[in-house]
Amino acid sequence: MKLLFNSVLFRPGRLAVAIAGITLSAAVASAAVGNAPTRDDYVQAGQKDGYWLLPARSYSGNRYIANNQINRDDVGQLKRVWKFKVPDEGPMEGVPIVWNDMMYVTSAHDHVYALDAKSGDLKWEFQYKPHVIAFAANRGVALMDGNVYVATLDGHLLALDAQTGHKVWDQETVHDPRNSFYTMAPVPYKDMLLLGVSNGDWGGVGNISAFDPKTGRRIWQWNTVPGPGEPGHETWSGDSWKRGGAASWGGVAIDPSSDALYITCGNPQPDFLGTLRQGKNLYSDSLVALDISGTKPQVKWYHQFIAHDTHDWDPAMPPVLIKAKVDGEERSVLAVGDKAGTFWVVDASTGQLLDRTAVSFQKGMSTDPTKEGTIACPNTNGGVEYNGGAYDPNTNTFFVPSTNQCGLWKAQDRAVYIAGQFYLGGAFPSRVGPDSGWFNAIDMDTGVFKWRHQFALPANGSALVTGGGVVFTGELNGKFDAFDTKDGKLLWQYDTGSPIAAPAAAYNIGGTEYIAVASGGAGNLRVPELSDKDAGAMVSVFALRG
Amino acid sequence: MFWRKPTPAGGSSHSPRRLWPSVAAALLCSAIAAPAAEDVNANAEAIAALQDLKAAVSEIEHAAEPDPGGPDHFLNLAQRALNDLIGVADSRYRRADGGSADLSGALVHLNRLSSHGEDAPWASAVNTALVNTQVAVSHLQSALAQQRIDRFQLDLTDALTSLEMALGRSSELGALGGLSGALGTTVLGVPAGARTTAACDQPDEVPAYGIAAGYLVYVALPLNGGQASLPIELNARRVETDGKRLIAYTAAEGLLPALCNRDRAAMALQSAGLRPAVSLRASFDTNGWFRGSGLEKVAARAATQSVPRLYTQKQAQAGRKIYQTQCVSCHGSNLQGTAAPAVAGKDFLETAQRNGWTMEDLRSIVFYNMPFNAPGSLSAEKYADVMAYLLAENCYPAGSKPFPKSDERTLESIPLEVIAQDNDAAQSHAGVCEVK
Repeated sequence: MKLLFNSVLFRPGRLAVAIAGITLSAAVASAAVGNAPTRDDYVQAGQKDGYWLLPARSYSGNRYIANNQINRDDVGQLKRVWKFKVPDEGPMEGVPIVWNDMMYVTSAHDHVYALDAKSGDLKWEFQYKPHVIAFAANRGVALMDGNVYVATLDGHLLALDAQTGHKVWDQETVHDPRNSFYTMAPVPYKDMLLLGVSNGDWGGVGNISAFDPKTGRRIWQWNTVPGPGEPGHETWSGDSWKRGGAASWGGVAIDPSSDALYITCGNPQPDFLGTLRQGKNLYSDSLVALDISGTKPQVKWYHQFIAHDTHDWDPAMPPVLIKAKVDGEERSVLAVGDKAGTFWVVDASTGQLLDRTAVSFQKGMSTDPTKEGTIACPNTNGGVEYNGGAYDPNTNTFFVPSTNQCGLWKAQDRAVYIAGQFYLGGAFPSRVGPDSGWFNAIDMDTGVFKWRHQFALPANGSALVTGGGVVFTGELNGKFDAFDTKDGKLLWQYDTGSPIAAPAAAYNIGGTEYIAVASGGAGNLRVPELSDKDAGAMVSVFALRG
Repeated sequence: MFWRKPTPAGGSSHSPRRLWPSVAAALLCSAIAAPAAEDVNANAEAIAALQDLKAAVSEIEHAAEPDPGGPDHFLNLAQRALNDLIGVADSRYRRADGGSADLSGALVHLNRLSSHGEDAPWASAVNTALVNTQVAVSHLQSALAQQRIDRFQLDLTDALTSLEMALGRSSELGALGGLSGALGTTVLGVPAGARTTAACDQPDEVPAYGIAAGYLVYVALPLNGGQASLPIELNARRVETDGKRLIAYTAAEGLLPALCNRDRAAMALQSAGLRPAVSLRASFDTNGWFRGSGLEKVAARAATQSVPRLYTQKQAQAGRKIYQTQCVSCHGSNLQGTAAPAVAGKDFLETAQRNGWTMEDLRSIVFYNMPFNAPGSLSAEKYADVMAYLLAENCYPAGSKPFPKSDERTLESIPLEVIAQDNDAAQSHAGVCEVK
């Protein structure tokens, strides 16, 4: 049966209730409206020191703050000024969202905590008990219209009152809750919340959708696998497109001046058994530019990094839209890392590939998994992960962590779809050899490393770079590091006691600059080299004085 | 309409299409034994359930017609169907315009039957009807929560399929027959007080129901002016007549040789008493009708009737140690999941039921895909131990045969589902049976 995407909401009853609810909350929240970020606040999110509104700071996604209060000379004096112990188990993968002196944090099981950003005092908490399909993780909230929006592991999009944490509305917005869930933070843009679904290893087809923040109604949906009659459909043999995957689950970059939305689409399915899906499998493992100025997204261009991937090497990292000097020329580019351990630079207006740099140990990349098993590197948890990196405009440097890990892939001779389980056509690879990580400083001009810092463990801590010449990253062993952007010298380190796989955020209250980072369980990033030491899930906030 | 309660006067005014009551009334005229209270209810409950199921099907069929009034019209029909199944007393009941639900919906009737018919030949059919009705209820609830017409329609289609299975066919014996089969081929179809006769013999008097070991083998009726009314659910597979009376044989006729030869005592009893009083009482009289057994408990018990014993206690204990080193970091020490999903208890088993997971699905995931970072890294023996531990924690009973180290076809046909627990104190979490 043909799915009626964007089919009309056919429940006037509920619609009426929702509208009534909005009228009410608008009246109640009139005092709070002044507190809600505006469209301009979002467009300028990268320029304002006071707040951290978007997961990667701005629509550009560069994770750069101009503030130089914390700089290479004084970062050594940085102290932890408060810690919030998160009363939930599991990995902490989200970025704290900070607005108007409030911080909003999510935990592995979709709990939301509203904290006083200066003191760490808990203002309210929202508890949730989702059914977990595979990985418990939540990567943050969105703020809009006086609400906090969170997308959940059981496929719901929730609106909570930003002042109280009380539920305003709750909509199940995935099409098949048996194999689809959310880990991504919704992204506010104009009058929409943009959200991609995680279903790309569980037999679904990915999509990025826009939702109405007032009701949760879907405004549009763009499927990451072209259906019959759409360009690219011919890149899937037979009916394989129906469980093609290519989920867009990491994050987005937006150019508000042209309404261009940039997304990365995940690996095709079944992950390891490519014979069932012959062809290039668009738009899997691709960076796609969508024009979202109209009622439906239109593809401007796409660039596929790996055609017909058989190793789950998706470009999970949210794309970063930057103006950088590349090959001696100032241009608008997108930077993306993938789980295959390649860092890519693509022209933002055409999708043309400009440069690539291998940032992880790579081996056996052109051999498909066999029944007997083939070794390839990086492993599925290797390369550059969903947390991404940061761009420093002062030094034209891109900072990104990467993981060296090898795996033994084994394909099966068939792929069986079991609702709610992985749809792999094999098993996730077994680790082979030792694990390690890099923190890479890549010169955008040449694609060559300015410096690299090696870690004894996989590296998933993203990056935060400041105008003070300091770049922060977190380690799997719980250490939070500050490096000199020029030469990679370790300037400061703090042991939070729990693995860090979350990007850091920065904000400013009353002239004091704060740096915040979450840490928690290692989850599926656990490797034998990692000690069992785990101080539990928490948010740590640092400042020079406090 | 069908009976809600068997009343002697009830038959005459019923519509011609629904022939059960009129036949039953005819048979009642010559009732010879005062019925036990529980016997009265068995047939009446089944008829009431049948009526409710058919009413729900009718509502859903109306929802398949073109839309005259928009969403509210469809939602109202879905709510009416739900009401027919759950009854007014259920917390999920919502008033719906034009509906006609009564105090007890089909679920209530089927629950009562299921609680009291463990040994009856109709038990498996009634349990099938109960489980399918529960499935239909959940589809209807899901439909009512939908915002999109296509998903609403899918839910309603699923509900209809389940209801059709619950209704079943009177031409089928056992579970496949559903409620219609139970009524058409077993003593459940015999109204209270009606004359019965041992089906191993021809009837002495008509009208009479021919019974053997709890199966309804024939219905014998007088031919008045050459005509007789047959119960429409009967679906006679063969009809005999000698001009004065008509004997309509049911699908259970095929069992007759086996039943008559195997169970001489029952046969003798039935011949003497003309009604299978003992076999019916044995099924019914141990419990009171309205003893409060909740829906979940009954549903779970329906499952325990065939709970397989797939592993040994020793395996489960060995599996516990392996779990503690290989699985605990993601699935948690209480198996409720930290970074990964829960693997024991209510949420896990309900997900398994919803997604239709079999024992083989679970086995293949454990054996081939786990542990996440090193799948296939354990020996087959250790994987089997882990499976035993997971089954034990999920309250599956241990047995004497170990969980197999290689795949066995039979696991594909065993559903993974919620297992009933008699001893609530044994559970540390909801639905989790801790292995020490």
